[in-house]
Amino acid sequence: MLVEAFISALELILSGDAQTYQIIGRSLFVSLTAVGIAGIIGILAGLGLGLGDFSGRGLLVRVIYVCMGLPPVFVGLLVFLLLSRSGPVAPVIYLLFTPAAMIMAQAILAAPIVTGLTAAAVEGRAEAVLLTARGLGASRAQAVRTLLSELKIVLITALVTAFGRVIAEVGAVMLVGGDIEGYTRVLTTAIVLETRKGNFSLAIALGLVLLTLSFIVNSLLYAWQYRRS
Amino acid sequence: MLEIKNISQYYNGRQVLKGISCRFQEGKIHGIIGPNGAGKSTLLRIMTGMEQPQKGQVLWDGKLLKGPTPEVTCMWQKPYLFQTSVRENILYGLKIRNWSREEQEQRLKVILDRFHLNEQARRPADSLSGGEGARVALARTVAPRPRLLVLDEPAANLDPFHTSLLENSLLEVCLDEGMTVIMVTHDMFQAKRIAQETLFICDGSLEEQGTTEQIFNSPQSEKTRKFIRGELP
Repeated sequence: MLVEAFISALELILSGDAQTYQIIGRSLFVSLTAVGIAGIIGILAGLGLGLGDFSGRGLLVRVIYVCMGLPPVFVGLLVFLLLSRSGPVAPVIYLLFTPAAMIMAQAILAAPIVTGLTAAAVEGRAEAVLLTARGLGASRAQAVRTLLSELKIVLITALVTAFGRVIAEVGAVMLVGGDIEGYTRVLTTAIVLETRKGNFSLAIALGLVLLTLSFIVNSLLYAWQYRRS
Repeated sequence: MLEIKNISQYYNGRQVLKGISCRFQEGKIHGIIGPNGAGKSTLLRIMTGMEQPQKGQVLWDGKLLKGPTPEVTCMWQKPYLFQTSVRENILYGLKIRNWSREEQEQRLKVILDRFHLNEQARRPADSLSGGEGARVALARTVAPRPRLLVLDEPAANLDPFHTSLLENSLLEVCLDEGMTVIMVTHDMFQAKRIAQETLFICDGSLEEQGTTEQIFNSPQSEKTRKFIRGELP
């Protein structure tokens, strides 16, 4: 069945089937946007957490580490309640069962990963980098820029890890996106649907497409790291 | 240029510096010697504005120093090299000071020659040996032509060959360019070889200050005498 599925996956990609490409495109759009948002929030929060010296910091770090493994279904449920008709956001704007809701859920899943990994990296290297940069005459802002540059590989790894997590999750996007054909259907929800319909080879083929996407993103990172070293 | 007045510092209730006052002369190489835990590195961090003293003042050109100034560059103990090439490490201080590309290239050439780093220029900094790394760290600190160069154990853990290479490059550049140097070392012989002025710090107090010849040949304090004879724990 696996060989058959692999051939189906190749056929699916090479056939240029508009619907499949739409699903792949939407998956990438939702997950990349979510990771972009989580990246901004997570890197800033991670810097604050890594550099900060305030009471309750230890507890906050532990909470972030716990949130790195948040169950997607639980996040989906929280976002669902937040965006549902009886929730606080609905009177302003109704976002449930839209790509925006899926982005929000995935960003919530990704942000703690970026925050936690950034904070750990900052903690490990910040003192040496900042002291060195300041000792060479850098202003505070220049020193922080140097720190970010020194952590570039770690930060990109954090973003790729977050991307890997969100593009593969199904619970949250299913709950808040609703798997609406042509609108909120993404690779993972399509896999669930095809499995339920008994189209196992198509489901596996979509799974292979998902794996290929992850492989491409990771390969790009590996190539970049290799070039640097 | 740099004057410290009655500096005291406490960590967790323990006094590590006890009312130190001294003045550093422009264009000279000063050695700060003393046993481990005497407060030498703390004093360096305070006099460079990296740390604020709990008591006392640091004056730079007569003005109160409230933080690091671009006119002073430091090489810390166990120096950290940025994860780029040797060349980029050396250019760091010039780039943050907005030197033009032409000025950067000219200065880089001089520094690479002086510190015998031409062959390593394009190598990643993390591929260097300990001796090469120390030379890169020193070259990077000297490159922006600071008025004051502050060095914390620059030759720690180096073998005699690399120590000598480092010292010669340092002396050549600093004497040629008229830089003022403050160097912490617990290697008395290094202070004797390089420094023109020497300060001896013990138990957080400035025990004695004078020309290096004076301190080593006719020390006034009993503690200095003991330290030089290797009798001070």
